[in-house]
Amino acid sequence: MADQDTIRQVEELKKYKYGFETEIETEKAPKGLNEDIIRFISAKKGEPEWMLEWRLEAYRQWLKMEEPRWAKVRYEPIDYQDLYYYAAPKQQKKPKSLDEVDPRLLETYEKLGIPLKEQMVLAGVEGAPKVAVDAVFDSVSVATTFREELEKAGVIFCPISEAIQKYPDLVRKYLGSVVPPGDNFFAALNSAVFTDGSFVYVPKGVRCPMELSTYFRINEKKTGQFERTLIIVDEGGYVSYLEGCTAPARSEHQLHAAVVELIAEKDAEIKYSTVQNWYPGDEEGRGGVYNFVTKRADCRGDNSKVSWTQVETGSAITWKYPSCLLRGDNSVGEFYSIAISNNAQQVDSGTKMVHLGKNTKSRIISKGISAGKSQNTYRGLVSIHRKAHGARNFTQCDSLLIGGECGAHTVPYIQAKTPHAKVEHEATTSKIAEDQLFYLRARGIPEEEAVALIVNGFVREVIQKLPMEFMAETQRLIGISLEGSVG
Amino acid sequence: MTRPIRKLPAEEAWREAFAAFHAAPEWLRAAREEAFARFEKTGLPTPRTENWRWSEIHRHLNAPYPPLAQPETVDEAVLKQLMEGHLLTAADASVLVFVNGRVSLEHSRLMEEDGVEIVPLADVPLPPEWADLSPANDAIDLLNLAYATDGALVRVRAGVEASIPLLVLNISTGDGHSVALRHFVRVEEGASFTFYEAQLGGGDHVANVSTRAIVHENAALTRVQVNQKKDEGTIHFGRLGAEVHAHSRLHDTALLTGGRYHRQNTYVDFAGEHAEIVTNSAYLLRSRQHADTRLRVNHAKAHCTSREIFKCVMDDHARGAFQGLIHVAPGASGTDGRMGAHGLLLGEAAEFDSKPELEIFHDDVACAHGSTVGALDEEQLFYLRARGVTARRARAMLVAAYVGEVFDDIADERVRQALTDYAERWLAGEGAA
Repeated sequence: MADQDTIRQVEELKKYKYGFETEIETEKAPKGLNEDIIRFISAKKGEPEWMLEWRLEAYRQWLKMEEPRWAKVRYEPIDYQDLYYYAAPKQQKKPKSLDEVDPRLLETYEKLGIPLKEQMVLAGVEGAPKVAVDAVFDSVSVATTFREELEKAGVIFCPISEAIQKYPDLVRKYLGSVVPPGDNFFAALNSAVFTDGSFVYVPKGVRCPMELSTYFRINEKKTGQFERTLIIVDEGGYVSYLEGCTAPARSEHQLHAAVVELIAEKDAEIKYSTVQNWYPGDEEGRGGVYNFVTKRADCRGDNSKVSWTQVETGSAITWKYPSCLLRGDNSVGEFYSIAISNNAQQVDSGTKMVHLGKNTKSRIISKGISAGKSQNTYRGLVSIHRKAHGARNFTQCDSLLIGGECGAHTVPYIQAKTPHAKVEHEATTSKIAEDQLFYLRARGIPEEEAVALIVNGFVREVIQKLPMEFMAETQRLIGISLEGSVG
Repeated sequence: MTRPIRKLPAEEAWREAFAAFHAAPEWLRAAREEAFARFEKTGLPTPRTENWRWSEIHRHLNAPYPPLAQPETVDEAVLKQLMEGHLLTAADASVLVFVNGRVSLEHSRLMEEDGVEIVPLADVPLPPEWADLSPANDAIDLLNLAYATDGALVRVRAGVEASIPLLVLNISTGDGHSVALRHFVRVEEGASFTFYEAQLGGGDHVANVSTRAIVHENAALTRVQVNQKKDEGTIHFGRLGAEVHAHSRLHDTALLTGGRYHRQNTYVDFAGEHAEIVTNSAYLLRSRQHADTRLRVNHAKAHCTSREIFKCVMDDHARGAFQGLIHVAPGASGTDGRMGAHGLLLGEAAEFDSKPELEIFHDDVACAHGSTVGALDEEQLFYLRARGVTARRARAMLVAAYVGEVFDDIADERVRQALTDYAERWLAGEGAA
């Protein structure tokens, strides 16, 4: 009996826990992409004329662009006409409160462990941190919690489709100001067809009273998810934002091309944390999400600070470089990353730190772990412009290899145009230490657990940067991601 | 990638010149034609070619430099000055002099040694079966073979530990043309050899010097290269393509301090286990000089060790660039690779770009790289100034100390000293500090 139990447990562990599918009726745009589809999306969202024009302009630029091929990832050409660009859970009318949301959707989020219902958090331990959640299901935001409490503080947290309606001036001022529509192939595609995402505005001098969080879920087959996040923190404000993602297990690939823009004005601070656990595909590389994401922060004001923390365990392919433009004097950019790849996963991720202002500082800590037959690349740029006197960068990227068939690559670019700056970069690549493994094994710890322990130690520096709620989840995720990588 | 519609004037000149180009030896004709055909297909790299991203060749090659068919003669006094005024005069070696693409035996001084053959390429009547002149898959090297007018072919027979090194002087002068030399060095089993190369001369022309080296089992090759061309003049393309076999050792050192632009392509392939390579470089650049290295170390075999240190000093508007790659092939267990690329910026408008890359397809490895950029340490300067050292001297001392590491392993003490002394003197030539 006990044996049976163990077998069952092991079987369950091996599976992608979030691979279930929610059977729910959806409304879709016809397959394919053309100006009519964009008009359809824009009309569905009831968007003003300027927004439609903006999308069409992005689309026209996209048509002229080539898909980037410089990353160390290999995949079959994507047929952009064989995708649905709009899928939304069918609802009679917009839900006024959470009670009106389809219970099957809520169930999905419950299965995922996302506390959509405010009561659940409130009923928890007293003093437990509150997290406001915006949940995006396929292309549409289904619920945003704690809105009233945020409104009291003056913080705007809502789906971007709603922001376009309610705060057109803010959106027009900032949308595309960090990642212009023509920035790159996937950003242009996103600008043309994005359907939803989160919008955050923190006014002057406000410290956002709780962590904000968005949860992304791809459910539909053959659906591209193109979400757009725009976070603006005005002078002296602060916000901590969390992002999580999952998708059902499917045998075909799903495309996810998001754009995230962060704007930090004078003395403002943004902390952006991601746990990305899209479906990675099976052992042979069938299925899984193509995660082609453009994330960029603009430290516009003096003394502003942006900190990116990412845990990348999912996706068949990850192409993602959260960056910081350090324009304000004394502004600070940070990038803490854990990228784990197993089986046939391919990761090409890193950051760009562009130092433009005086005394700007950046810090990059990247930990890559590759196992199975996966390929894991760190690609980063540190650029010090001529006027960035007193700029300072420190970069450390370490790679850990588990098994003889995986690859770990490091591609750093360092460009310095002034003698009044200091850049330091170091990188190491090695395999998991035999002596550490032996030490743990000798104390009766099974090999897989021992590997997970060592890896957790290896990435400790980054895990410590995560918000509390994500820490425990991440440690567990590391164990699950590396299942089957040893023995 | 889309290529610019207009080809660079230099490229056009090189495409047009081949039909009328003839150079000895005749047996190389077929290989030249093949190389040229390949060049015609690929063309020169563009600013968007990744390996040339910091090379600015569209700026440097924006004039025609047709190949020089007949060697231009050089005034004896100028030649004497060039031959006696370079850093490698300290080496006690046989000397082989090339002037504008042809060997000049009257200026050379070859000492005989058993088991060591040294012949000029253009004078070899039949293709020597021991020399491999095949080009690399690289536009500049294809051009080199197509237009090479001479070169040194060297063979060190098995077991011979050569006691007399060879010093090759690649002298080129004049304006508006290009010269190409193709050298080959083969060090057979258990043999050892030292090879010095100096790039000398000046003028607005292109010099393309390619050296291929094969180091067989248990053999050792030491190479020291100095580019001391006159400032602001010449565009130099240098190449070292080395194949390193089991238990052998290659030690390569370069000092790039002359000319307008130096592009170094260094490609090392491990062809056997337990081999070891060191390739170190120092850049000492000022005014608008530009040096740029592409280094690729291919750990194709297990248990090999590689060490690369680049120390680059840029003053004024100078630009230094480095693109290094350690590639570890699947199955290359026990690989130990370390790469360091460091830039010291002295001038307000100086620039350093570096891309130290690791590409690793196997787990049983220990690889690391580091890269730094900065200015002279104010505290170190203060320390020296407080002890009565003048500001200028203190800066010179710190620069010499900075690049010193690159020369530390040079076995010939006099050569090492000459390079170290030069590093210290170099800064004295700068404008009012």
